[in-house]
Amino acid sequence: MTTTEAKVGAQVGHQVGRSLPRLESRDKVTGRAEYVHTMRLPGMLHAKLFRSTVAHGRIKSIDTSAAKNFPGVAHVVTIADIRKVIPDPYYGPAFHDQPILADGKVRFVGEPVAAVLAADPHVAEEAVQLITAEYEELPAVFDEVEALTANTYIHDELKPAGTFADLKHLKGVRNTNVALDYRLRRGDVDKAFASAAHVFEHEFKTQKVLHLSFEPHATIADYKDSGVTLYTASQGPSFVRTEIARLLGWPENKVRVKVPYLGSGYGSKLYIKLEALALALSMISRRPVKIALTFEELFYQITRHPTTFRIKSGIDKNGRIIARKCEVLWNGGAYADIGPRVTQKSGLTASGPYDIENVSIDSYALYTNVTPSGALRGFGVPQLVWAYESHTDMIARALNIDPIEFRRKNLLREGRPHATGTVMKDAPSTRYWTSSPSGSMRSRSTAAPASSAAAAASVSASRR
Amino acid sequence: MITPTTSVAIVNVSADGSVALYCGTIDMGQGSDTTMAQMVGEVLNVPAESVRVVQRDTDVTPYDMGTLGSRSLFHMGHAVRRAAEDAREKLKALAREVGEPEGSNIPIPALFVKKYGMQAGNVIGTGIYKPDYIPPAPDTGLSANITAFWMISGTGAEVEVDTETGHVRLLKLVSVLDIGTPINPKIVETQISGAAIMQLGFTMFEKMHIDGGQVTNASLADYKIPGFHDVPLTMENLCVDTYQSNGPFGAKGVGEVATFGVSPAIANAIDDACGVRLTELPLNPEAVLRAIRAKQGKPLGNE
Repeated sequence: MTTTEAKVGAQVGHQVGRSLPRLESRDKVTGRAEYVHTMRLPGMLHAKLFRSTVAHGRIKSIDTSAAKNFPGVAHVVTIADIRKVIPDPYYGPAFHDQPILADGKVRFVGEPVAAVLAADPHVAEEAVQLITAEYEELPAVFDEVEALTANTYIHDELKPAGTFADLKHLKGVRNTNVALDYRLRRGDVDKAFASAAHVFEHEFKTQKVLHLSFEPHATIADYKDSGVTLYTASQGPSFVRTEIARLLGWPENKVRVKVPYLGSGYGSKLYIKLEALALALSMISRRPVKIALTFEELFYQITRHPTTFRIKSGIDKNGRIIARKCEVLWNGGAYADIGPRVTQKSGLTASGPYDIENVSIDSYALYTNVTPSGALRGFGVPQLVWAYESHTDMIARALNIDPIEFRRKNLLREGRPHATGTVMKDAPSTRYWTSSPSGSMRSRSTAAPASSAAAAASVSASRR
Repeated sequence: MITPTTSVAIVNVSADGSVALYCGTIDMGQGSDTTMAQMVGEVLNVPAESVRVVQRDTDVTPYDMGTLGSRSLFHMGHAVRRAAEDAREKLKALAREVGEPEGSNIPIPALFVKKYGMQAGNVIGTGIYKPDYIPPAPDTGLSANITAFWMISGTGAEVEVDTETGHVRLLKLVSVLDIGTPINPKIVETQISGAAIMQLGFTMFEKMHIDGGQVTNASLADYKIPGFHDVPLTMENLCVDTYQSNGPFGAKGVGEVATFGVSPAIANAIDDACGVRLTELPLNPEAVLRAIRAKQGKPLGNE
């Protein structure tokens, strides 16, 4: 049936439920789909970035003279140049803490300090090598546990963006690396621990990883006095428009954000990333400017939070979890990005998908001197599930209860309140717990002499 | 930020009967253009293939909070459904206006011709969605309505551990999800395997090595991501038969859900296989071997 035969009351059969191949797949496999990474505008300049080599330091001087004199270079830009076009050059979704280029201080190795513009990206890249900077190094903090109590502070004061009501109390707070502390208190955990038959306490850690989208970040800004157009590999063009309009002091209708297909994102291209810098460079050069990162540069753009999660559970004599205490430290890196949201939104799920009367959760977003952390496929939940499902399994094994049986006994069921007090709705039937889809969930051994095999399960529930 | 967030969509029916969808959800490989088109097609009784999903441009496409947190199918899905329903009601009103009897099967182009005398005009439907939400109380973190939906999954792993080298071989990985009723089962299946394999990399070997603040493996040559040989010999990607009562067509989001259980399932399987418990990711051969040797009372040195 063709489109023009469509009738108001006609039936073409259900469209929902079809395993329809992706509509754009032919364009993609034939190389015809549009991506910012391969896009060019007439008269466009390419920007390449000079990045910090120290983790925490005051910038004493930046020498851009050799780069400026390099043949083919159009502009070399530092924060001083950017202030002339954007007087308050700080951005971010939760905190306005990130300068468009390093402003007096650097806070992580790889932080952009200067940008070179040239028509030929290879010229820009070569000229970047001619820039030098002198730093007065400051003590640095890399670890989230250390950051909680350190007297080295990444930022002089906290600058919440004002978008979120629960961050407002942090405005102007000094002498801290805690960008957000989320707490949950349900029942009386201390009393429950005192009455528990067994108490277990463990600590889990996750490492720093990153998204590595096959299309690295890329943005083109084309600034004119009448309006600005951004072509950007972004997962959130509406947010980009709002934030760019704020930086310019313009109404949103003068900011146009166009996004073609993305070569994946996984959370790395959310909120605002290269857009503010591309805008500033286009304002300075009065030409379209493109910034396209290399794979190596992705390691200095955005990553996933490393975490330290201390979890403690009290179990009664019937194998019921009666108390759980969670303390989660999120290593947010040098700039908050969306870390405070991860800390809160995932933090409230830290006790897991279980029916527990007494719960205490403390979840801290911490600044450190490493590449910023943000959202990565799960918004913090995978780090939490790693801890609470390992912990749950360890308890079951220690108590000699089948790990699946232990979970079934404690699972949050339909109509029961989660730790937050929100009542569970649409819970899948626990009949799915009677056996795994492939048969037994119990472990089995193989005949291989130096090896053994096992099966294990974990469950999780996250809020959205 | 994820709940409560807002999505807005526009469905434009042209005078030839063709349909365009304007929505800010970014298709970054997860197949959202296809599933959104399917929802429009379902409401307007047109094939999903015929629905044009307009490229994202804030001059043209309305507001969307962002493509994140497995929110799009739920939030934008509702907005798209409502926009299509709005267009459908306007088409029906147009049919009444030009004197068509109730339940008329008049082709859409003929309807426009009857109204405007030629192939001309548009019918535009709009839809907005924002779920109900109660923010957590500042002192207790409690809320009677913290989320529009929960993301629920279970993961099973079967591993083989070489106790002489610490190498872990993944024989089987089973992901079971509750994602409501899938809009496009094939896309759901690939989202599950993609998420599970991505988390597998974060579980088994991916790690940014940082020395004095300097990343020492900042390249794809030194930072390994999963390749074909890292994919488990058997992978099962399954959804339980459920219906999300407040979701569009009984569905909810899927993109992240298969990541959650992968790491602990594998660590729990390693414990089950050889009695060692790892509490820090990644579960690389060195970590596994160190744990095995420590348990044997023959700990490895630090070199």
